[in-house]
Amino acid sequence: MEKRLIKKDTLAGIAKKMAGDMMVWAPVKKEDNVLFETIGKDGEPFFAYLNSKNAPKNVFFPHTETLMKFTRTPKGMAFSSEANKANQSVLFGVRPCDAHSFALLDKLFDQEKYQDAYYVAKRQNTTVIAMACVKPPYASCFCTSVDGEPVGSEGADILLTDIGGDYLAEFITSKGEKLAQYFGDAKADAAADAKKAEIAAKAKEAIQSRIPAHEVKPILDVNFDNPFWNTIHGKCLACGTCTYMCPTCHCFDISDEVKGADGIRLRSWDSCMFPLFTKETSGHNPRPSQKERWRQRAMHKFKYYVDNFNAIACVGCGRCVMSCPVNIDIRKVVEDISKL
Amino acid sequence: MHDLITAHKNSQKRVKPEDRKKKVIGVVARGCTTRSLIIHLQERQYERDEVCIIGVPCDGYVDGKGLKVKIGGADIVEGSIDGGQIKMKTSDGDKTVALKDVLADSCLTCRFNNPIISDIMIGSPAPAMNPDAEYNDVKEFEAKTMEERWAYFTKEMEKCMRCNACRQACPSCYCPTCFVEQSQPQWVGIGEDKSDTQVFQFMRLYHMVGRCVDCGSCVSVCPMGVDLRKFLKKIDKDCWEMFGNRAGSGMEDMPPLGKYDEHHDKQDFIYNP
Amino acid sequence: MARRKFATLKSFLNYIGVEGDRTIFTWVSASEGDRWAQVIKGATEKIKALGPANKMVKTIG
Ligand code: SF4
Ligand code: SF4
Ligand code: SF4
Ligand code: SF4
Ligand code: SF4
Repeated sequence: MEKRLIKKDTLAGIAKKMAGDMMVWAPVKKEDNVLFETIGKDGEPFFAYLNSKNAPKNVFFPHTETLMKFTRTPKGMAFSSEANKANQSVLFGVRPCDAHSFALLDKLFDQEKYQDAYYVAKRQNTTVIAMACVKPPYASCFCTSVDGEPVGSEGADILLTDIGGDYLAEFITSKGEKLAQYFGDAKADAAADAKKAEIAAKAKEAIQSRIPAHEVKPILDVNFDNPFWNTIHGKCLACGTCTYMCPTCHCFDISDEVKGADGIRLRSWDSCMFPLFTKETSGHNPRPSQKERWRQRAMHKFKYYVDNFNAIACVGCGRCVMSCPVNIDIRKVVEDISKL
Repeated sequence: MHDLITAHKNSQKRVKPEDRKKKVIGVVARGCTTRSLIIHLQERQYERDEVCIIGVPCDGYVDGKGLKVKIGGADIVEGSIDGGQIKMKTSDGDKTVALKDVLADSCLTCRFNNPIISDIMIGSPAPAMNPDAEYNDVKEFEAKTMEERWAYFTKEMEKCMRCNACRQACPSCYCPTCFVEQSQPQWVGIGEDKSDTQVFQFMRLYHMVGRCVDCGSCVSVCPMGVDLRKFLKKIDKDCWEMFGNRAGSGMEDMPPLGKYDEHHDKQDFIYNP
Repeated sequence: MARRKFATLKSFLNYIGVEGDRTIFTWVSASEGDRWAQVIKGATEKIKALGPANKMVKTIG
C-alpha cells in the first residue's frame, strides 16, 4: 500500500488544488452548522470539525434527484434518461463512520440483482478521503459496536490520520492511488505506521458508548409481537429527523412533476417514520401507528439488513441520538431489546 | 399536544353517541402550553372537561442549539443547573454558562410565562420576562429593503431539508392531512426544489395567523437551525396590530380569522381602482 | 374571514420580500359590470408594471 506523510497545514491547500481539477466536496462551516458542500479552488474547507451536521450520503444519494425527463411532442412522449451522469469528484474528509456507511449502501444500491445507475455512477466517479477520528468527537459515538473503528478505512479510498505534526495518508484502493500526486512525495516510514497503530488503539479505547448490536438479531427474529414495542414510540413526533440525518437510511419516494408539456421524474428521500410512508391508495395503512414505524426502524437496521446483506445498517455516528427532538436514543432501544 | 387531540378522536371513534365516555387527561402546562390548549379548545378539538390542567409557572427553557454554539460546538457529556448557572462536562473540558444567556428567544420575550388557564396551580407565579422587546427583531427586519428581506428568506429556506420536524412539533399543526401531503391536487412538490421548500414554509407559517403561541417548539426541534421565529413573530405582530389579538391569550378572545370588526379593521389592503 | 386573511397574507408576503402589490383584493358585486372591468384593467396594469413574478416560481427540468 502506498503511504505518504503530509504536513498538517497543507491539507486545505490539497483540497483546494483538487478543486481546481475536479468537483470537491468538503466540510464547510455554514453559520452554526458544518455541512459537506462542493468547494471551488478558493473555497474554505473546515477540517477542524467534529462531524458534519447531516450525513454526507447526499453526495451519492441526494435528497432530490431527477431520474428522467419527458416532453409531450406531437409525435407522442419523448423521454430522456438522467442515469449514469456523474462528475469526477472527491469527497474530502469524511469521518470513518460515514465512509463505512457507503460500504453499507453499496450492498443495497450496487448488488448482483440490481444496480442503481444513479447511485453507482456517482459512487464510481467519486474518491472518498476519510479523516480518522484520533479523538472520538462525541460522547454518543458508538462505531466500535457496529463493526466500525474511529481510525478505520472501510468504504474509504484514502485514509488520513493525524499522527502529531503530520498526516499519514494511506492509499487504500487503486482509485485512491490515482490521487497520490496531490499528496507530495514524502514516503511514510515504519515509525509512522507504529504511531498510527498506537493512535488507533487509543481512539478505540476512548469510545465509551457500547451497545450489544450483534446480540439483538436472534432476539428480533422472534419478537415481532413483543409488547416491548409499545414502549419506545410514545414521545416520537414522527418527524423523520433521525432518518434524514442518518448515513445509512436510504428509503425514497418517486414522483412526477409536470409543467406544461415538460415533466420530470424525481426521486426524493422518504422516511419510515412518516405516517404517509406506508399509506396505501385505499387509505389503509399497514403500519397504523408510530409503534409499528419504530419497530420497522429497529428491525430494518438490526435484523432485516442483517438478513439481506449480513451487515447491521447502523454505523454508530450518533446523529439520530443527538438530533432527535425528544431524545429517543437508539442505543437504549438496542440495549432494551437485548434484555428481552 | 397532538396526543390530546388523538386521544379525544380515538375515544369518540365507532362509539354510539350515548356510549361515548369522556376520558380526562392531565396536562402539565406552562404558559405557552396553556395558550395551545386554548387554541385547541377554541378550535373545538376536545372539550374543556376532557383536560385537567396542572399549571406550572415558567422561567424559560434552554435553547439547546444556542447553548452548543455558546460553548464553541463542543459535545456536552453531562450537565446540571446550579443557581442560574449551567455547569457542563464537555469534550472540550468543563464549561459554565449563565442560564439567562442561553434561554430560548421565545422565552426571553415571553408575555405569558404564567399559565392562563388551569385547574390546579403549582408553585408561585414566575417573574415577568421582557415582553416589551418581543417585536424588536421584526421591526428591524421590516426596516430592511424588499430585496434584503427576500435574500434572508431564501437563505434560511435553503437550510431546510424538509424533515417536517417543525410541523410535527407544532401544537397548532394538527391537520389530519397536511396540505404538503395532499396529492389531489398536489399543492407543493415533495423534493428539495427551492420554490417547493419556500412554498411549504410560507404556507405553514401563514397557517399560523392567530394560532402561533410562540412556544418555540418548531425552532427548538429544527435540526438545521432555520430562523422560523423571524417570520412567525411578524404574523403575531400583525395579528396584534391589525386585530388586537394574541393567539391563545384568553378563552373569550376567539380566533381572529373567524371574525371581523366593522369599526376597527383597516381597509387599506382593499384595491379600489 | 376572507378579508382578514387577505390583509395578513399581503402583509406577510411583503415581509418575506415578495411585492405585496401582487396580491390584489377587492369586492365586486355580480351587478357591477363596470366596476368589474375597471378592477381587472387596473389589476392587469399593476401586475404588468411589476413585471413577471420570479419569486417562489417553480421551474421544471
Ligand atoms: S441509526 Fe443513528 S447512530 Fe446509527 S448510523 Fe443512523 S444516525 Fe448514525
Ligand atoms: S426503512 Fe426506515 S430505517 Fe430503514 S432505511 Fe428506510 S428510512 Fe431508514
Ligand atoms: S427524530 Fe426522534 S421524534 Fe423524530 S421521528 Fe426520529 S425518533 Fe421520532
Ligand atoms: S412557535 Fe412554532 S411550534 Fe410553537 S405554535 Fe408557533 S409555529 Fe407552532
Ligand atoms: S424542522 Fe427545520 S429542516 Fe425540518 S422541515 Fe422544519 S424548517 Fe425544515
